[in-house]
Amino acid sequence: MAVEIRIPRLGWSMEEGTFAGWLKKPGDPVRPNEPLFTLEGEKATQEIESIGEGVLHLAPDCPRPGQVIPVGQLIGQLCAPGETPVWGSSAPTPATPETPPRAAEAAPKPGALPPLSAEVAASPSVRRLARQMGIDLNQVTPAWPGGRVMEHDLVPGAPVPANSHSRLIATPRARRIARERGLDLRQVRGGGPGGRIRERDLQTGMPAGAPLAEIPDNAIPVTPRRRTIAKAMVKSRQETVPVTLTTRADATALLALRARLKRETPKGEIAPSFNDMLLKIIADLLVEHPLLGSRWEETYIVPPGDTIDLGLAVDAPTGLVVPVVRDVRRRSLAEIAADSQALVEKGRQSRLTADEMRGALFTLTSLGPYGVEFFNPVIPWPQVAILGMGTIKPQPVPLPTGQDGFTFRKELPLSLTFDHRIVDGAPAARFLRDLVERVEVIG
Amino acid sequence: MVAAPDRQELANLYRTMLVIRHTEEELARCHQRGLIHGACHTYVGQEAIATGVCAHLNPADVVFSTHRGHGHALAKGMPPFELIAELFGRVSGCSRGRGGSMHLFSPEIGMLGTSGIVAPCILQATGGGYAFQLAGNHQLAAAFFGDGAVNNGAFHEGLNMAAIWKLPVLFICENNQFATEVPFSQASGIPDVGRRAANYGLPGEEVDGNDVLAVWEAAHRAVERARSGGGATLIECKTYRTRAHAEGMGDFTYRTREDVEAWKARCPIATLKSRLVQEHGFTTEELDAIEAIVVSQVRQAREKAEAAPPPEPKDASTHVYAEPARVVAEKPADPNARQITFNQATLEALTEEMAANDRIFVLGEGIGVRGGNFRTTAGLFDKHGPRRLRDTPICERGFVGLACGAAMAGARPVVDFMFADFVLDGWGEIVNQIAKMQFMSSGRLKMPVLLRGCIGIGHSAATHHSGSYYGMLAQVPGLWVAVPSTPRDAKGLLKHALRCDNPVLFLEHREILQTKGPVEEGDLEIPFGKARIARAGTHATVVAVGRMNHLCLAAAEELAREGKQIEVIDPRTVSPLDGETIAQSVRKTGRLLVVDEPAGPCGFAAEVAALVADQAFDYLDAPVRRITGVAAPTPYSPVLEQTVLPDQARITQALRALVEE
Repeated sequence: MAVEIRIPRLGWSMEEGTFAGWLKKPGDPVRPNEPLFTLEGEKATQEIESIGEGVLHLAPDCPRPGQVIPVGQLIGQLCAPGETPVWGSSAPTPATPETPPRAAEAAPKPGALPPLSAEVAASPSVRRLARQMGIDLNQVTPAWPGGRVMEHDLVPGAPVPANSHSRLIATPRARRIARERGLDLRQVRGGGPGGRIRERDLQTGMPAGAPLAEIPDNAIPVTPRRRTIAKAMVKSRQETVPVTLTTRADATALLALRARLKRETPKGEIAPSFNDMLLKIIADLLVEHPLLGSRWEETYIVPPGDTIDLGLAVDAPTGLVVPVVRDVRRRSLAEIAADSQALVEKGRQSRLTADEMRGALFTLTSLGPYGVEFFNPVIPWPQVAILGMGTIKPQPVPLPTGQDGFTFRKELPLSLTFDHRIVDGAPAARFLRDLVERVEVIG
Repeated sequence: MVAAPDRQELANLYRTMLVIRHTEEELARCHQRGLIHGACHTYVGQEAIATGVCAHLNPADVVFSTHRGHGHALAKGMPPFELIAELFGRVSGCSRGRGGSMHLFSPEIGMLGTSGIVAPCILQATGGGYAFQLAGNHQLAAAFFGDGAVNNGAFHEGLNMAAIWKLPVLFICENNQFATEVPFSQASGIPDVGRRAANYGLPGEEVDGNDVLAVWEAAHRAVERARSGGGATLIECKTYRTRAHAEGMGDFTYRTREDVEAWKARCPIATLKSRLVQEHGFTTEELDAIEAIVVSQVRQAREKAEAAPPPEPKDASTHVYAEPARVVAEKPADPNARQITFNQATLEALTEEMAANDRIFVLGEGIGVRGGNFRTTAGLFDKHGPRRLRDTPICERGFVGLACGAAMAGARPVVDFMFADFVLDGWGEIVNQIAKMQFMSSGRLKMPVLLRGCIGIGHSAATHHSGSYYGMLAQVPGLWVAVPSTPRDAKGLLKHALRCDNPVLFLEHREILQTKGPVEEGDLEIPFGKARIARAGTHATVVAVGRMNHLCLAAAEELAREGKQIEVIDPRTVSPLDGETIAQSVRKTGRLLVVDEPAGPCGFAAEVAALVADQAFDYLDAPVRRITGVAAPTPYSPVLEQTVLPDQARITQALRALVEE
């Protein structure tokens, strides 16, 4: 029995990936767990291992390296020696519409011409959808006279929004204009049949055929990484209700610990950073404040389990990446430091795998090195909160009780941004207060 | 008094036969050496026939021959080097390496060509004769063909036309008793060919084809008759090829070694040699001296051919069409010109061109006194008479083949098919002969053949009077295909067709013949391959030819009332197709509908769609749409007829959907 090879979902919200190439040749025998092909997900490139055993056959419409393909697309089969693969539809299973249309809606439109051919033309995927919806294709009039029945003919009047498609549908003209202007078609709602994006959907008010803006010579192309970041930011902005609380923590203990660890760390190794220390504190605190490390699932909220994995924002040359440090609570500071150091290095070299960036419950980010004190970090959806560290510097504080005047002490500015849909202001403030206390007594 | 060759002529006959024999044997050796890339059909054993006939021909007389044509080319005067180099695929071969054994062209010496198809040479020689008769010179055309050709329709059609019009043609049947490997006794109800001539009212002779003097005498009579206006003659020369059908093929599955040996013993060259010594006072020594010179010349020709360079790859597709002799630019249309019908416009063009060029003649059924079923030649018979307005028997293949030969021999034939459905009966002549002739002769022959006929569904014409066929015709390299939609285009394009040197299919939609439009008087020539923007617009492009263009314009009017401006393009010629104008329009509008009356598969609409995908893909803002006729033969009943035909309502609806899509 042949084993299907389909494009796996590498990330939480991954709908499509860039096929990077096969690691086996057609006709090669493949064993389970052998690397089979390379796939570029939203943030990383990953070697996909075989789930089965057999001789590799490529699908007739197998993607070329560099081609963007939807998750779930059939790209090959592993067959027993001598077995011939049978290729059905390679398309991913279409999303089932939330509201099945009533039979009346699918009836022929008055005045529309009947299809000329007795046999109704429809693709296999549309036929399957019709079966699932209990619609007789012979009763459906395609929007195009005498044309094929399309998915949108089954759901009349309700063009499927673009983002529900596993594949972006846009005309070549719209794609070209988007390319020339650096527009992200994923952000555009297509008004054409089946949610197809047309020129007019990109530029309302601009007449068809009007000359288009020239691309300036110094234009910067939008990389897939940049597009992924942009998409994540917009997603967060669309989905969350962010509120930021700011405060300062006395950094005296933190600086002392850092100095001590630096002294104690053998030559050639790197001492734990402020980041590592904060990660450790956050991991402990999330046990007491589970809501800050939970995940919103619309009808329920998933609190963190025993294992606390935390994201660490890294400024890589190609753009922001957020590797995940695993099981922070149960591991030593030295282990955390070693881990985070390695992840940061990989991040800067664009060598992080999708796995290494998946599953964080909470994220720490820092703009301290640039002198920034407070800022508004963006919550990495579907996480609930993110903590921003500012630069440690001396601040005037009143002298101990009974004395007039000020003294100076070094303080760490902290910005906590949280999703007010899930966490209210007071619990978030309590988390921040507890965090400050832990920072001030670390050692 | 029976004519006889003099001593010098006898020596020449002997020498020519030796040139053929030794060249063929050299080629057989070269075939074994691998120097010949394709087929090699030798003429060994049949040398007396080409030699005896061609001895009477002038360089201005023309020869058409078959797949076994080496001997005819050599006897007509082709140097052995050009033949050998051709079979070696060299650029100095007689066909510049484009033909090989079966496609020998040397118009310079009147060798107008050999063909890999059996029997077209009969029709082409008939056409050559027609051209010479029209020109009023005393040249003649000869067709050499085997016994295989005489049971083909072309033999019947060609001999009949030559007989009724008394054309100066020699039909030389080389009955070597096998059509490839099928014996003549199994292919014909009577054992002889020559006597068939009587059925056509032609003189026929049956001679010993291995006796060069017998052939010479029969040919002498036939040539005298042809040159003096007595018309054509059929001569059957009974002979035998003593080598295999093609070099390298087995020979004894269908005939016996004994038969072959018996015929070898009747070698025409040995027979002539002994007669020259015994009856004509030649010495063996002087005949051997002639042979020694021939052997040496053939060897030198072969050595030279081996050293000759191959053709340049860049020339692989040159001469598919004639080089334009002049630049034609279309004058701006005068909207205030007088209004005449499509029909009147084409008649005006033909009338003016026939007055200007006496090489033009028209062939067809009822185009003479009657003036054409569709008044295509009205009034012309009175001006030019029957030779230039030739009513034909109903033999489309025959007169298309005749037109081919006439064009090769310098005339400018117009074939009026009445209905384009009848074109299909001449399909092989059009595709294999007319369309390929300029290429195969590397541009040394011109093919100014105009093939015109009515197309189009309507008025219950039913399936044999309604086809369009331009999709399949436009697939043929070497043909141009014009499908005009307005009277002005019809006149201008027909004038261009009558002035250019390429074969043109000129297809007139019957349902628009009476539509009127402004047409300038006098000279109006419109070059091929330049589309006309029939209506400018920005929201979508629609492309259609012929009657469909009229429907598209009407649909565009409707859309204009709804605020949508449709650009309507009329390519005017399907081949050459003006892709740039179409692509330019789609780059502007982003939307394309192609409307075409014939069925869709592999058709004109598909070609336009593919062209736009190639040239304007990134500008498409909607899928390319097609409306084509239903893929069914045209039915008769009006209800059924309307169903298979695209109509204005469908076009309007499609355009509405397209601009919204």
